Amino acid sequence: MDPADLERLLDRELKQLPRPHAPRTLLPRVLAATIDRADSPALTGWFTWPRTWQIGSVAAVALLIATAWMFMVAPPRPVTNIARTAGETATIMRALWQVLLQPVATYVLALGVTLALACAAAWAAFEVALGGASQR
Amino acid sequence: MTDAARFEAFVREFQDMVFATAVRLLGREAEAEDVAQTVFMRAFERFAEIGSSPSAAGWLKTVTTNLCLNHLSRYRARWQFFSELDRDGEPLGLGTRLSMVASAAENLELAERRQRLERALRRLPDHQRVPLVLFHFEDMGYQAIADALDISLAKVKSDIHRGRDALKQELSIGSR
Repeated sequence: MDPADLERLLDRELKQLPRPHAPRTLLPRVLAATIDRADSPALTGWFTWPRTWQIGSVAAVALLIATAWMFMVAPPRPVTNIARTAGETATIMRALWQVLLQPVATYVLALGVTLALACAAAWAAFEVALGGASQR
Repeated sequence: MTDAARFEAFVREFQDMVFATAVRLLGREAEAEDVAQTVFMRAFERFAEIGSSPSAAGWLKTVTTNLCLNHLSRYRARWQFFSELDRDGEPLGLGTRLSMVASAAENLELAERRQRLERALRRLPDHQRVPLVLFHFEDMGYQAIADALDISLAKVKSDIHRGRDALKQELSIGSR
């Protein structure tokens, strides 16, 4: 059969096929899913939220921005006190580190590494000695 | 009429069209039902726009086709042949069978031939069935199919040709 004839024949035959019906379960599934979706508006787009949710979310965001702005421009006294105390503590800690700890830190680190290596060597020697004794 | 009732009427009106497109592209009823549900959920999200739009059917067909192609590429090796071999003899769904029975009342032989053709179509491997369905049912051209499937024009033509050959055998068996 000529390919063009076959194309025409099949096109006619296929288009005459009865349309398959959707299973009866499809409609209940879709409706149940829409109910679930409606029950959780946060999962859908903001524009599909109920009006009260939209207004509430806008108010919450505005409040958040205003609060952040207020803290940045003119922080309340307790916050400035805490920040000042934290700054002073950090300065003291930095001075202590630079004066007392930093000069000896290298030696302490070297001593620690040496002790660890010595312990490891001693343990290895101990195991060799025990192993040799048990094999006798 | 409430929004819920309007949406239910909308689903009732278009469910056969959406399901038919999906089942012919995917070849399996369970997967087609899943895709059809996803399509209607997309429609639900935009129901204010498309609920009363005259282009709703076209929109649904486009979304269904795209979701089916995504499904094929994501969950199956799209052009894999061997995954199709286990589907021989898979029964058609109740809805399809009922429609077949109705046709058979008028003309049993014609209905049987159509049923065979529908089965044969669904049994084709993905890489033959999908371009064939897009060509004959969705009226897409060869180039548009090649673009949609991201394959060469020559492959589209060769796959469609092989698919037609397979279906021709079914038709010739039926006419004996």
